[in-house]
Parts: sequence; C-alpha cells; structure tokens
Amino acid sequence: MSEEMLRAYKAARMMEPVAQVDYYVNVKTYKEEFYRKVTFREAIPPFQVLDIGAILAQNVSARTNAGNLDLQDNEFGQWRWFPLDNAMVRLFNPTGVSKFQLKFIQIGVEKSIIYRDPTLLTTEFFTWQDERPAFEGMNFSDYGLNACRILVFGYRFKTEELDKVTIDKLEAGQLPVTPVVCAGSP
Amino acid sequence: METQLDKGVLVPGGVINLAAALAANALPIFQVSNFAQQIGTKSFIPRKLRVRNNAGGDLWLHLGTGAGIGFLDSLPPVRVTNVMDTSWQDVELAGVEFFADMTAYPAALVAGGSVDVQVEVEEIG
Repeated sequence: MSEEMLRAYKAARMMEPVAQVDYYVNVKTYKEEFYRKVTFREAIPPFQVLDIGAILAQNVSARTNAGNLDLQDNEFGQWRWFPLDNAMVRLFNPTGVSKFQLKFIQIGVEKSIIYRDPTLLTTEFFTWQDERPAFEGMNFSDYGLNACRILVFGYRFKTEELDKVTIDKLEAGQLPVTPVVCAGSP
Repeated sequence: METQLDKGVLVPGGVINLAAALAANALPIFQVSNFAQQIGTKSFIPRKLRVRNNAGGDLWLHLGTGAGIGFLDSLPPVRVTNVMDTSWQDVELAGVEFFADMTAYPAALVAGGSVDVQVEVEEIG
C-alpha cells in the first residue's frame, strides 16, 4: 500500500513523505539521537509561518525564530519553504546551527527558487518537537521591503518510543530505518 | 514543471464613487486584508482598473496610499476623459505591491460630477 501511495506523489511531482506509518526512523537533533516508530502522518497545507517584517534596502534582518512551526512532544516535521517576498533568506535549525552550509558560504533561498526548483525539494528540512528553526532575511535590493514572509508546507509525524529489543535490532542493522536529521547539520 | 507557487487570488473591489477632488478627499478603493485571526500578512497587486467619468470633466486620477498630506502616489496618475469610461489591464499596470489600503482621488472635478472606480487585485500571502 505504501509504495502505491508514494507512486502517486512521485507521479504528480509533489512532496513525498520521508516515512509512512509503522516505519522506523532514526531522529538526529543537534544534541541527541534516538529511534522511534511513526504512528501517524498528517499533511500540513502551505501557510505563512513567519513575517520577519520590513527590511531596509541592503540590510539583513535580525535572526527570527519561527515559533509557529512548533510541534507537540514526540512529533517531527518535514518541511519545504520559500520566501514570498524578494529577499534572500537563510535558515538556521535551530537558531545556532546553519542549514545549507558549505565550507565558506551559507546558501540563502531567494524567491526565484520557485522557478529554479518548482518542487522545492532542495529547501527541505526537518524539525523535532519545539526545537524551532530561525530565519534571517537579507534585502539585497536598492528599495525597502515592507515584509519578508516565509511560506512553509509539509508533513507532521507522530512517533512512539521503542523497546530495547527493537532498538538493538535497529542499531545492528537488522531492521530498515530511515534517518531524519532534525538539525542544520548532523 | 510550471510553478503556481507565487500566484495570488484575484479579488474585485467595490465600485467606489469619488465625488470630491484633492488628496484630502482620497478614498480607499481596495482595503488590505488584516483580520486579527488570519495567519500571515496579506498584500495585493492591482491587475485591472476600470474608471467611469460621470461628467466630472477631463481629470487626472491619482492612485496610491493614504489621504491628505500623507497621500503617496504608487502609480502614475491616469488621465480620465469627461463622460467616458476607461480600463487598464495587467500589462498596462506596473506590478506595484500594496501593503496598505489603495486610495484614489481626482485632481479636479467639475461641480456635480464624480468618478466611479473599481479595481481588481491579485491578493498575495
């Protein structure tokens, strides 16, 4: 059944959930790592998670936490996003850990991402519970921005803890597991 | 794959009768959505403009934000000929994004005359 569902998502070139119900996941945050089983998945429609606010010409906004993305305990989220306004936005997950970080630069996402990567696959990130990400908007233009709005959509996953026997099997590679890195870097 | 991710929703404004000239009498022709319970910030871009001149004389119609001394032109004023109607669509209008109410006023009006204005916008956010 799950393969059929995935095929529908792939055919429509939409967003494929990282895990299905009853899948085992290896959640890695910036400070810890643990194994869980997915018990529920819900798609979250596109919504405006954050408006950083007005940004002066050739200025960078303050790094702003996206509290609206907080999830309940034992939940992780899979998200894709883009800025609705003409800004270059850097993502931090959480606020001290940069996302899309290369050796010398951190890649910011511009609105043009919706043309260059229509499925927004390259913007994908994961969050764990209420370890909220932060966004920083760069207005690179010669005119002020009235707003810097971030649109997000994706999936919310509920998980449950596992018994030691199952965890041992997962660690030994005896059961399939999907890694979910809920941080800027593992 | 063509994206529709940046498309907004087309929303018509009401037919607003402007019966007094000058910036002090500028009236909103489209109000930005700012309901307390909505999630996120809305903005809009005017896509169609229709104007009917009710014997107001040949006039310049100013389009912008605010009123009185605070009025700011957002688009160049449009020329509206006496007792005629005119419309501007899409490619004829610069894609100026409004985060505040769009207001308008006629620069001058013949006594007893008025202007009817209706704008259709693309609401974003």
